[in-house]
Amino acid sequence: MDPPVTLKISSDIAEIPEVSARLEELMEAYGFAPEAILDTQLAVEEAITNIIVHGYKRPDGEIQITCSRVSDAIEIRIADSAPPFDPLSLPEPDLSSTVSERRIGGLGIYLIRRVMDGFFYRYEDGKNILTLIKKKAD
Amino acid sequence: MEARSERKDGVLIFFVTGRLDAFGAQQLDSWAREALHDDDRELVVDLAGSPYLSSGGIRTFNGLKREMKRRNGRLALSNVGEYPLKVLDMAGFTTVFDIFPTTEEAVRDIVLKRKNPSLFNEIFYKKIAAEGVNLTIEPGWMTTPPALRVLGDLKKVLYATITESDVKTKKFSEVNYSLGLGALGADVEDALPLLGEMITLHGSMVWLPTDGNNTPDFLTPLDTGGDVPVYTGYNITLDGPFNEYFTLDTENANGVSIADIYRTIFSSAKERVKTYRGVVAITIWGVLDSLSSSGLKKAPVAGSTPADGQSIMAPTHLHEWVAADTASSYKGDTLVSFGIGIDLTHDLSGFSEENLASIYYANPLNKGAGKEMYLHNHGVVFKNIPYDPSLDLNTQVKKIVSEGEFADMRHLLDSTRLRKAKIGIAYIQTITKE
Repeated sequence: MDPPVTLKISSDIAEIPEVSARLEELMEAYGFAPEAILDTQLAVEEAITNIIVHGYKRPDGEIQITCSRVSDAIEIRIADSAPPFDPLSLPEPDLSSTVSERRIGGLGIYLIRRVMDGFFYRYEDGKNILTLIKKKAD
Repeated sequence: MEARSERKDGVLIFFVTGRLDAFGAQQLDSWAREALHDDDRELVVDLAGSPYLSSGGIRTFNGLKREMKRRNGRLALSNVGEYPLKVLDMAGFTTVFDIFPTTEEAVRDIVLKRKNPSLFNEIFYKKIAAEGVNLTIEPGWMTTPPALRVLGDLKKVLYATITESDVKTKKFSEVNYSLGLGALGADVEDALPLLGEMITLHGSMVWLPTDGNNTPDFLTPLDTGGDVPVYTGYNITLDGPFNEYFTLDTENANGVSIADIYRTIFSSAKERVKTYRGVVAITIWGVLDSLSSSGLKKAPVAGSTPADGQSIMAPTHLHEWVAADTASSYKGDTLVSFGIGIDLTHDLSGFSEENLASIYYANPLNKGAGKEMYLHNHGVVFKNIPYDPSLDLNTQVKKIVSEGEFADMRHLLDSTRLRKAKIGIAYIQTITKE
């Protein structure tokens, strides 16, 4: 059993490329397929972007990302100290709309749901904690 | 994220390399603002070099689509990789964006479905194509004969002998097109040392104060809530309509110069225009390839008069008095200019020598045109104004000066180059002193 890997970043979207690079490194070592790695990068990025844009709203907050290998899956815990906010409570975007200038709000969360095998939220000890799970094979 | 741009058959292409995550998308956003020129209407984003896309990238594409729609144009995506396509599909955006397998196919489709000029335009407007320049001539108004009204004496500007008594106050809110030397100030004493190049466009006044800062000042009557008097030591105002409108574009990679534009106007007027007397006043709305400009560094007033009695344009004084800037800048931005041109190869006996002298001097910085013409143009640079020559020139100039993003104002050298332009031409019949 590998020990969990923890990454601390500031609430700044300039951190995203580094987070993606670390995830890729780790998941390749765990034996994940390229598409599963891309899906996980997408989900983690959308979660972080959401925290930055809707949570902290400034670049000096801290976000902690902890990755653990759990049998045939990776579990990623993303914790922040921004005001409590449950992203799962967001309504799904209206994808049937044919309007060309579609609103993009809520799209990130929708994408997380689509690509991950598990997506959970809880508020604990003054922290928002998102848990994302990706299995090696569907 | 890295990106480069290219233009093919008039279509702008962005080649994007690297991941379009939220960070890359933000970089693309700010890069695209510079890369988009005011005459670009159609854009293909080639994603061959981009293996990843998130909602941040989709947001950027949506912004670009909105911008191209504002320009009555189109956005297409091409060479979309497997994963970015999966993201677009999951997000429901494959039907929102035009997606093509290759950039060649995207460009072909855009060119094919382009809105062609109206049939009326095709049939009734005269077209001239020569030396890579395409010209459409549209009739304007013949209601009143266009005239130039001149205030002050050009010699006093050139020999730097303007005194307080030469400076008049003038209200410009009713003036559509004028150029000259002016300043704002509490009183004439205040304004005199600041007298610099100025232009008025539909009631707005832009001037370059000679205060050493080399920074123009833009003033619309709306800003001040009233009609502010402008102190002017020299001014040329156009009275009357434009007799013709030229729409010009070119296949030349670096556009056409202001001198080329006047040369074209002069030679075509000689052949066609009965009322042509060798002097024109023109307003240009166009897209710059490069701006070459000069500007007075100090006010040409008594007290600064050159001791040797020579003109401030004499080679020995030029450097002290005139700042020349021929660095290529403002590429792809919008120029609105007003100016006059005198065809020195034409018979000018229709005007009195005194009146002609009031608007004419030989600027040694003007090299392109040689001795065949004399030009005097001031121009204002704006950013992010979609270029559309099917719009009415006067309405559009009015709109640009009241709503546009102001960037700069200069005295234009004849070597300033434009890629596209809509030009209003007044064939001047009389010159009067104010």
